[in-house]
Amino acid sequence: MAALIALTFVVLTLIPVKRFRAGFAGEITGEDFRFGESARVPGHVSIPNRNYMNLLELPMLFYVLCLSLYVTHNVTGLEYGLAWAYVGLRAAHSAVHLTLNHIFTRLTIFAMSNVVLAVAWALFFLKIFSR
Amino acid sequence: MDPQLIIEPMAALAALTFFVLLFVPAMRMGRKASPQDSATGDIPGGLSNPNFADLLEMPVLFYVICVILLVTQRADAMFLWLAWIYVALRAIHSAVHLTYDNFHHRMVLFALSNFAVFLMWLFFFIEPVRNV
Repeated sequence: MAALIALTFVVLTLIPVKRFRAGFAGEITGEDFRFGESARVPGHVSIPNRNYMNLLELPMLFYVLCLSLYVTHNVTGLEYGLAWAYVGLRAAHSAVHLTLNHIFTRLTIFAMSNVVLAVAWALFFLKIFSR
Repeated sequence: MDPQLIIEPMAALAALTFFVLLFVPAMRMGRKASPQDSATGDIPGGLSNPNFADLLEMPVLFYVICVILLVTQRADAMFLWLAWIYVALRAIHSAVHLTYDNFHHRMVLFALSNFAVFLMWLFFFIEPVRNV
């Protein structure tokens, strides 16, 4: 959980870095952000923001699951492994998104991370209600 | 009642989210969108899946209150009912959004669902006050 939170803050930090750099280069002004991001904002500037938003979407289900496992004393070796696999895949996803941005690689990593998370949820649910 | 029952509506909403997530590639691949469109996330109207994003907005407050109820062992029958009502309303909301998408139906369902989660938070905070 802490690793994924750290990743989120790293990506968050890249947003102003990219935006200010583009601002000083004269590509955009503050006005471009009045209602989100205007069409003038170049793709490479909006990518950190997109990845940051992604990191606060499905990972919410990861945090909820981790806390629920913790509270109910159900953190097994398997769940722990799945949690790290999820964080590893999300880190790889952010790395691809912020560098190569190859769509099918990104899609594959994203899909794999979601399968890992869905499996972790399913295992937890089965364990709680098969007692 | 077993306080861990509160995990059932949580897991149901998580399952709904994963289910709606499946519509994202289905909608993107089924229509004319090039991979380049999703490079920056700017896909013209209708090709993205706003319902998926919605399911990771307000529901966060639902998961948080559920985990708090679990930790504080206060997940009683009333909270469980409200939680199931919330999940049911969100499921209908998703169904409307992804099928005939009537704006007014969606809005009413969305408002009702938010009211349910609001009540969960309200009852959670009122109770300790009553006990003082």
